[in-house]
Amino acid sequence: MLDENKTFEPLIVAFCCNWCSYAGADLAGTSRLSYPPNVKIIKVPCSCRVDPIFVLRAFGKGADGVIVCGCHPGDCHYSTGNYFTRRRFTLMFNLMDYLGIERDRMRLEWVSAAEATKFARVMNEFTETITNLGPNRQIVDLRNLPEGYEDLEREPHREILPPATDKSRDIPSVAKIEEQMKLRATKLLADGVVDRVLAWKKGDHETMPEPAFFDHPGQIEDLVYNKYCAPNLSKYLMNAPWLGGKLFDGSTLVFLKPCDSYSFNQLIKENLVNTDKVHIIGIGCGGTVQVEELEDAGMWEKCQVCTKVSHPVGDEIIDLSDDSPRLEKDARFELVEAIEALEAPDRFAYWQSQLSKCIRCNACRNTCPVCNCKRCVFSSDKMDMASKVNANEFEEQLFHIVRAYHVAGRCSDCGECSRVCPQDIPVHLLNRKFIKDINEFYGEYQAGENIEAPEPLTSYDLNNDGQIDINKGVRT
Amino acid sequence: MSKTYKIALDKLPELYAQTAENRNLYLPIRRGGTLNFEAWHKDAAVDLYGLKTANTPKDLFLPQSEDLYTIKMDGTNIEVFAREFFDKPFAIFGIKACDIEAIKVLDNIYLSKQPVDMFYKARRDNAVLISLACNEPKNACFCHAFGLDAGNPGGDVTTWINGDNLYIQGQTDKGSAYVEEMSGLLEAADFGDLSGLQANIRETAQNLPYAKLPLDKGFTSEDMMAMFNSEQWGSFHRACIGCGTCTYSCPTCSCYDIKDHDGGDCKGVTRFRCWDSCMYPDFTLMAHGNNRLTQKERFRQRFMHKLMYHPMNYEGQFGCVGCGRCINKCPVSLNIVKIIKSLAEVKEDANA
Amino acid sequence: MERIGFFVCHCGSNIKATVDPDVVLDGVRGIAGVVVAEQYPYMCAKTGQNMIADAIRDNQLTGLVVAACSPRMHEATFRKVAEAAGLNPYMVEIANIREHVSWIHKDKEEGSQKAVALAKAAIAKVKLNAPLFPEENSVVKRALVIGGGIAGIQAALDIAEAGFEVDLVEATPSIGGKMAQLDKTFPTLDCSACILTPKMVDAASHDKINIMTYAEVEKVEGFVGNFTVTVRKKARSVCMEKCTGCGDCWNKCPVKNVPLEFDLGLQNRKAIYIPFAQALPLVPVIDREHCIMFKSGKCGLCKTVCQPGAIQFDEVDELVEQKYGAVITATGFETINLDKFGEFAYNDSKDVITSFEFERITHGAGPTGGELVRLSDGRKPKSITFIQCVGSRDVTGRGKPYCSKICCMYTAKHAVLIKDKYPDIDVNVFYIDMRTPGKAYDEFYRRGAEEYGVKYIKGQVGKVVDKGTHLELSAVDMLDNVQLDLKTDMVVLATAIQPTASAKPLASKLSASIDTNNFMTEAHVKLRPVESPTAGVYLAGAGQGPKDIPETVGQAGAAAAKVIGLLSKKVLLSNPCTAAVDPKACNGCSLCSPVCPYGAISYGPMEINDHGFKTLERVSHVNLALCQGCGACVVVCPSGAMDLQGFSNKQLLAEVDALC
Repeated sequence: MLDENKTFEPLIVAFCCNWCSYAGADLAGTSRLSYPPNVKIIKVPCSCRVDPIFVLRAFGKGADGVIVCGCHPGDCHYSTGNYFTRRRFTLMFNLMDYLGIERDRMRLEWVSAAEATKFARVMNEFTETITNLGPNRQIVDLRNLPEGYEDLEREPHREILPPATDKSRDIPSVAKIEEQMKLRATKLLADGVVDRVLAWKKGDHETMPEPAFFDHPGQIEDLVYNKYCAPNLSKYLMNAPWLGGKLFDGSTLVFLKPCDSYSFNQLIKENLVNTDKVHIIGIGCGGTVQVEELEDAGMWEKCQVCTKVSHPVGDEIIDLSDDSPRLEKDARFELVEAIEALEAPDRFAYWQSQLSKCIRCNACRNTCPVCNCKRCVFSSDKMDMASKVNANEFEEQLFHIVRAYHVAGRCSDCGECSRVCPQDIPVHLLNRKFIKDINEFYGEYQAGENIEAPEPLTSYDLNNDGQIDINKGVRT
Repeated sequence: MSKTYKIALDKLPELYAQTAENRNLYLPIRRGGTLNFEAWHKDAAVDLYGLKTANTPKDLFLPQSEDLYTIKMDGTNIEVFAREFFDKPFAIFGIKACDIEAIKVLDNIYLSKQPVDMFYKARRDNAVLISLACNEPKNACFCHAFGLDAGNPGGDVTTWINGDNLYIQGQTDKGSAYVEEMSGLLEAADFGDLSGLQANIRETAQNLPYAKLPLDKGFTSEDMMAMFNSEQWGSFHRACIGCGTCTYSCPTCSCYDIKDHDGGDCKGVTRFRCWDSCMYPDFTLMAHGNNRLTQKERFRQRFMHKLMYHPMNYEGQFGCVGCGRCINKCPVSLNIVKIIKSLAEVKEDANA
Repeated sequence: MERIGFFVCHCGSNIKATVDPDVVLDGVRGIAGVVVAEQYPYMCAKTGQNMIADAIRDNQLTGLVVAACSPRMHEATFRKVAEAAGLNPYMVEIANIREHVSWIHKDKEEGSQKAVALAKAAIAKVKLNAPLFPEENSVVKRALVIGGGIAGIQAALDIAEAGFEVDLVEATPSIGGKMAQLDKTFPTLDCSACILTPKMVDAASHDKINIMTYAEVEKVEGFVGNFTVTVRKKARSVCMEKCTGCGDCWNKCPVKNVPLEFDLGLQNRKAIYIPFAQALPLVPVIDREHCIMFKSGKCGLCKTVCQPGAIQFDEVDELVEQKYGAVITATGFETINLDKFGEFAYNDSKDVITSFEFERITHGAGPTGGELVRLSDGRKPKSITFIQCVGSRDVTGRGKPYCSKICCMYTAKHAVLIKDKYPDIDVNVFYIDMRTPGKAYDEFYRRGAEEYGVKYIKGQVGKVVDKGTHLELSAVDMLDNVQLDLKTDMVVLATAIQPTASAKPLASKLSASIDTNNFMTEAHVKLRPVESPTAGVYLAGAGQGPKDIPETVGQAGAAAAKVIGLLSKKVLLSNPCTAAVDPKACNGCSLCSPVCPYGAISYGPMEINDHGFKTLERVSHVNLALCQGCGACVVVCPSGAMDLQGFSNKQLLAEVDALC
């Protein structure tokens, strides 16, 4: 093992901010302080310019270690840049760890322009760490099923398969809510308060209600609301002229389940809905079920652990009766904790086993209320990674990591991504990991709850953030 | 008709092992909680009883992405390297009647007209299709509507699970050769043993909710423009979120895009093709923009293709085989059955 | 097709000793687009520069890579060379093969290979460089100073002396600020009013300074060099032009019981009043909340007695819009509220006062006419106890975590002043640490302790109880480690200071950042301490952090110098390496603006034309004059609609690809 490593020369990419770390590296040169030539420096204006995609890209293209260096917190040339870097990479490194990818391969260090000795020391240490770890294959292989993949089926993670639906759960009837929805919809349409209604329409089969717009009171008889009405309606109200077609300029009545209303509120926060033109009725929800072969296949995991009983937005509420069963315990992080509890190789095996099933149909992305970009970076040439199911390109491996990162702090945990996945990949457990870490590191935060609250990844707390060890991902 | 054989179900691992000796074997394997056609290995959780795989055998003929050729550039010197065609024999075991029919649809698209698709052909030539009758078709199945017999699925080799045995029958030369190769494991059986099973299957299949669809109403070339211009498209698509689940889970969807990726060394590119979906806004995107501006046009394209254009091009063969995956998988409960029923109603109303 | 020129510098033997230039050149030859690959012993020397310039002209180069020393050394040099030869200076990249290669690696083979890798990365990047052009913006030759305390007055005077117009906006009826309330100043003990008043008069009489008192900043638009600011001049109800400041009105006004803010409520004032005798402008204000005329429509005595006829009850707020090139914030400080500090009995006892109240009590124009007496019974105290760090350096969450900085010295001043005038009064000071850095400060404090007999006790007071005739203190002497139970006649609390309440809304109007304590943030703590991160906004006084008068005046002068420097420019050239939005890709989700430290990002509707398909969309807009090019917004943009010119996503990814 040692002999093998002797010939292994790792490739290490270091992103250095122009004002502190790059100058620190220059000073290391001027002071003739040596560090291994394996380290190759890329200059960026500020550590906050380092997109986690760059780090992933470096790994994907063959780097064995990546280190990001910036000014010490408080010394940023741009005042606040590294505060965002700090939060961003704390969460990213933790997610990589969660995926079972060796977290020692990535590092963040603060190096000032005067700290030439520290720069050289950090680079020496880091090179040694990476040399000991050996060549990196993990990110490249995250979604590739390796030859002889028996290892994937090792016992430890078998129990955390895609979260199971639960057929034994009592789901309170929402027939009374449906009745009132019809009354209100008919009335508001007839009174001209709204010009159309967004709800669910009776499908060809009881289990197949589809999201639909109702334009006349006469159509309201087709409105349904039951345990099959899982689709989140909030995104249909997105003010998105780029989607083509003529924008509706009348007003819309929309019925939002509690989880949908959090998504809707997040869209309000992101200025993507025109609240003046929407009349919101929050409706109670007793949980929704998976449908297999037109049959109730049990309550979705996301509903089993849902504690969102109130609506953060709404002009009116039609709620469940007070004695309906409600969840009291927030158990949604139990699966995340179960994955965290695995050994790193098992975590990697788990995610490799799950993510290798992905067919990149983009259902998770297209249904996600906060995946609201005009063109996803994975569908445009913006980040040089337009990869329409190019399974051979490493970008494809990154899709789920990058998506989880892009919705971090914005995801309200509606669970739609996993519900719609045709391959039953528990995508939402990536998002939930971010949510869990955000709660633990930066204080409880529920996206979509309060549109005034600063978002965890675009804000900072100087008294708190310094207490989180970025590279270890723990509070010190 | 060639001879019928059988093998005890508990001896199937031996059959798999022997099959895999000379070729790769793909069959329904439950892994990570999902049933997919995947490469067999001795510890794989083979599941012949799960009705529908999430992916389809299409993936093995038309992979998600496939490199076509590479261009290398050194200064002004440019060389093109073609990729070698796929040349490893493989067998797919456990294909249901719908998916067998789907491969016929793909064969029509890729092989029936010149020029044939050489990449597809190479894989197809190397494949033995071993079908499996559906003992229990379920609610979302509507292969019967397209005249398929789930009890007699076809392929190069057809198999049935009957009692404690798997019955096997070669259908083509390639299939018979395979059965011959396996004969050491097989014992002779009487095809007549299967009549009860087949009758049951047919009985179940034709009584499923969507077994009878009004495909005889209006899905002909003279009605094409009426169908194309139907006002219903204006509302059909409104729930559609524009994901590609229906297309990528569909055993017959066959569109691909061609793109390049560079190797990162600035010294050339590799041209590859990859699945594409008509549900996406950049499908058939051209320099002037897109000719399908909204989801309405994209949505219409998919169903017009399956129900009109494909039959018109291929002697009445529908581009849908009734597997029901889109019914199970569409995030917003849209599916081809709804479309067929609604469009036929239009036709009926117009005739009335 | 790009045409890249590549040049390796030997830097004498500095590079050549560990990097073989021939290996580097071999490594880059053959890379698509590289049409020139040359070496020279000193690329930065005139001959080397000429070599590059000739290559640019002869080969119509579209990009230039120089493998040499750090870009921090000579990037500017080679950019100039490029520009002179007709190539946009931003089409130049440097591969740092000296500081990052030859000076740190010993093995020539390894060094050469690393140099090749860095050269390839620079070539990959330069291929994606785009010509960039700085924008030119004009500068409005006028400055706005917000806050009329000593900081604002000094800054306004300095700017005006340099010949620029200055508007000085003050929220209260008079300029003067906190310094006007002080009796004496440390460590020289000169009279505060005596040194401040002349400055106030200078400012008021300066022909370049326009003072707007009783006025607040309402709205700020624009950017460095071109701010448009709306100031709300609150209705004074007294005509500034007509009033002579004779005092007839406030003498006659029948409303007598309004607490005088300037005296911290220790004295009362009328409904029409001036805050203090030396107020500038010497024009009263009608306090409409208390004026009988405004409350009931009857009275009007002031109007009756006013001979010039200056009283105008129907006056309304006036909005004044003005353009400025630069803004100085000098909003100052206030003391914190002591409600949460019940142990000091501040709310329960008249004889427990803040240092500021003490300042007024000892002031000749104060409530007691400068007589040091207990406010409860008018008795002269026999002993006075000062308590330091009340709410400062707080770890209980009730006060402020920082040191208020001025308290140790003003308490030393108070102690000395008492001892000087009333040697018989016992003076005790409870402190955590004495902090007296500053010229002649420590000497002053020691003189108090050693010569005047002020008793300093290191320790904290746990409780103060008013016993009617006296106060009882429970405290700990931390040096002797004993519990102390003291009787005293008066307690003076060195109350923590904080930015004025107006700081936070003002910062938000200016898009200037504030820290968690609402102090204005500097562009750089050490190197740009008087500049806000928002270009064109400068900081002076205690609104930026606790400071005493000399520091405040010094900082005000520094801020003024920065403003003068800015206003002296004919045009402002912007850094072209700024963020830029692709409106076709932006969905206006507004994730980017919260991370911009410069307030450079706004949102608004724009017509988007996608192949003739036109829509009106809300998209992000970057103000190039404000953007400093950090890239924070780029990384939070999930769609890649935001990008950074000079360090674009594709450029950085190309570097990554080339290295890996």
